[in-house]
Amino acid sequence: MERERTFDIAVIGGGPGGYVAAIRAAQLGAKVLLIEKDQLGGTCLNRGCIPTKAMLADAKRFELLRSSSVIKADGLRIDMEKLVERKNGVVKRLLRGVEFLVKDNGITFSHGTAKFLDPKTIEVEGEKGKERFESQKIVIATGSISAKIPNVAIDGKVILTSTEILDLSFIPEDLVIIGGGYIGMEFACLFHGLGSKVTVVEMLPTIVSTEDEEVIRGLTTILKKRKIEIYTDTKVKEAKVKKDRPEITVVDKEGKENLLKAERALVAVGRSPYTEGLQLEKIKVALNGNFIKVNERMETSVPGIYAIGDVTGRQMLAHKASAEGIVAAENAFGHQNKIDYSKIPNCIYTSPEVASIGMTEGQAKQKGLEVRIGRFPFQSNGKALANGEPEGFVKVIAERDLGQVVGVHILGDHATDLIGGLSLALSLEITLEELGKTIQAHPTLMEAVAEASLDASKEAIHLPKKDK
Amino acid sequence: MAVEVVLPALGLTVEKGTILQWLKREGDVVTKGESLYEVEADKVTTEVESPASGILKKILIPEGVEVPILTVVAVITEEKEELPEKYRTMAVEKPEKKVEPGAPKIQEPSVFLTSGPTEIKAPPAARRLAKERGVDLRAIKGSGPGGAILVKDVESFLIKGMPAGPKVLTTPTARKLAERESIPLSFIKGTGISGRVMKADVMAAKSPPKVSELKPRPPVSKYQLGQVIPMNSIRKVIAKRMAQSKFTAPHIYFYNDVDMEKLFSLREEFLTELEQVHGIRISMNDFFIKATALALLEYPLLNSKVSGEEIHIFPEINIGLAVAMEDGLVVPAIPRADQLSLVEIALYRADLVERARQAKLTIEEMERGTFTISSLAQFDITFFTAILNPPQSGILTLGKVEPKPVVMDGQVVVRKTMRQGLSVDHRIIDGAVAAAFLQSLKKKLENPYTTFVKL
Repeated sequence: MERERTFDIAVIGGGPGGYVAAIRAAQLGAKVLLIEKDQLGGTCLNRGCIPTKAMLADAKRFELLRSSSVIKADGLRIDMEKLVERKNGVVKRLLRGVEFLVKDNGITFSHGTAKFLDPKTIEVEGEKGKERFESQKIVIATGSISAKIPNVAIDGKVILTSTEILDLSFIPEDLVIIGGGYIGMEFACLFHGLGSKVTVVEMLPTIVSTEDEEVIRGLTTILKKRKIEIYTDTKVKEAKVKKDRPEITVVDKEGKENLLKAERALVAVGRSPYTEGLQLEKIKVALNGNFIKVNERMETSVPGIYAIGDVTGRQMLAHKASAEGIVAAENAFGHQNKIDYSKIPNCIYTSPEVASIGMTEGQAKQKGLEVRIGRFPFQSNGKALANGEPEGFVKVIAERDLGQVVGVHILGDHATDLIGGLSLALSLEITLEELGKTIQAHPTLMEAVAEASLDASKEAIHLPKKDK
Repeated sequence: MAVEVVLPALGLTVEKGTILQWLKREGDVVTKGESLYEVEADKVTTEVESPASGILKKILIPEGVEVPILTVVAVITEEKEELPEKYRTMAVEKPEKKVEPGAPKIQEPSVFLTSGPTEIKAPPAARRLAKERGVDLRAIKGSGPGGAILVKDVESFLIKGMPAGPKVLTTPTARKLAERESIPLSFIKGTGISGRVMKADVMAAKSPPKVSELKPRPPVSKYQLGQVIPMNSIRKVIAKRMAQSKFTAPHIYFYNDVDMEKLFSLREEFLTELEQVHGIRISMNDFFIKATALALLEYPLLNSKVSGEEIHIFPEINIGLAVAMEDGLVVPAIPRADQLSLVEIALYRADLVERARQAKLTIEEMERGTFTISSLAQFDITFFTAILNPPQSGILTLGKVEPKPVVMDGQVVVRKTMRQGLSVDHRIIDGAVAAAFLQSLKKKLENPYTTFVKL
């Protein structure tokens, strides 16, 4: 049978932005082409969110048992090969799921690298040669790749990126992580959990610098207590491989040099948009740095062409990409939808976890917003204590005038599961009153959220009395 | 001495009005300028002020009765003065009772309608509003005489929520904001999922027209082929006046093209700053109003009217601005525009236009005009002719501003250009004067720094 050549919509990139856009467009009755040069699922499923969480789960269980004063498990060890195997199994299973969904929705799949010939024509080069497709609408969802820094020689064996480290067959005795962002800190906690001695080097004054100041302070203190070394305000001058081991020269704020040695090094200095080979110059799409410029409807400067996900910048999050994918697909077929970027939750799978949504206190101040702030520590929460996870707190930020909750920041185990309810709350523009008066089951961690909301008016039940 | 309270001329287009509500009782002390009664004419409710101070001795026309304009509706006397004999027999009976033919016509249906098992008292405006908004009058507690439900009762009911009406999806923050701003949620178009009214929607709806002025959005055309439509009173008056103007005053028309580049850049330059300082956006119309007023100072003949065999030059320059309404047209005027600053003109203009759309203008505002500007710049209209707004003798028309090729210094260049038109009454204004006026206006607009920037 002759393969279709013309489509209503073509999506370049099969990650959590692209495949979701393709499915949504198919639901709307469009004839959809999905192009992916590697595997469906993108960075998230193959090299990011999912595999790291599979590994973290094992690392966390391992650490819990090791550090338990109740469960005596002598000679406890981790089988790294099995860990990687289980992780790969999880990825494969989810990958099959995505492949099924794409097929089930009648989406045409093209395996290969896409490039623009003009704003309506794409050429895909795959194993079987070149194919040309025409499409009324095109969504660019090509994602991002690990960023590189000068004088750091990533070889993929000793000095690694987040991709190679996922298949490490052993637990390095010590690990230096360049970059204290969320990727770096997750790997720091993962390998610390597995037993490595971890050192983090961050150029900025703090780790996970986009989070709320109090959360950053809390997390830094906890991790330092766990003997994760953190050097902030420290630049990497050079990193090279010497006798199969990395040697990293760092410079602190005062200009003092220091040589860090370890068994392995990880470079996690952020991610860059990936548009290589797309021939964007052929369609003259406007860029914002290296990112593709889009408006809040995900439209690029070229009519009919949309861009979503990491390639457009802002927060590089799978769920943001998916949300944008849905908006782009709907707008391509006549809707007029927008994304509200102020209500995208953010999760960091450190130990303890960090989760947040909305504004930080600093951002609120910067915007000149008058705020009321409530806090509640997990050590005053029954469930957290029973779990043996009393670290961290909930911080609720509300705008003073109407009491609208504009930000929630959680440091603590299971924070990433707690934030879901708050995404709903913020998208429904909830105020402190509702959040504080909602009846939460006991004993649960959500009680801490309600209490933090009440604390904003100095009315938390389980905190010492505060003068009003 | 007794002073007659008359139903005033409620603007150009109104012939009759219904007394909706007396705000004072017989025997009350009234002061000049104080609101005496509410009158409704062609869907517009106006409060009428007392023409004198004294005692409201006698109400001649009760609530709910429709009378022609200039009918005497009440009499104000001095404190100890008796009601003059001639008024004693003039009072019209309450509409429930029998009406003698020949007396001022009584509106049907009458004010106090019965509906359902219990009698509900509500004037037509309140009923109409309630009907438009789907409110059951039985759910509202009336604050008017005898428990009558007034427009304000319906409004406050709508603001507090409509238990019987359609449910409005909203968010806690949006609800709080709407309550504080007294914006009924049911009037706000929600942009959230399933039309949920979000905070941003309430913000967008801030300071909206008041409840009573909100009308359902008209469809593209409410008319159908083959339909026969009786003229309402607004239309009748417009028809009469326009025909009278066109057939009485021999119109002559003049046009010239105005290079708008400099005016645009001047506006651009000051716009943001003025907006920040004064909280008002200066529109292009404000510049036209000011420039026209200044040109009229030079050519006062265009600021005049024919009166018998005399030409009366108006003592003030009050520039009227034609404002389209759903059913017709009003021309509120900015007083002494020659003496006002641009910001003052803008503030006047914004207020007048807003209230014109809400049908809340006072008669004075509609009648004080001495020269009119009519702009169709919002439309794709190059230029048009206008009929004089009697008794005025000049009207300026403005087409849309668009880039056009023009010759400057022997070169064809593209400039923002607007065609303006002038209609004048040839009985008193000759072509040369009109042409000179229009030329002067053009010069003022093309040299905006000299015209608008006071040094």
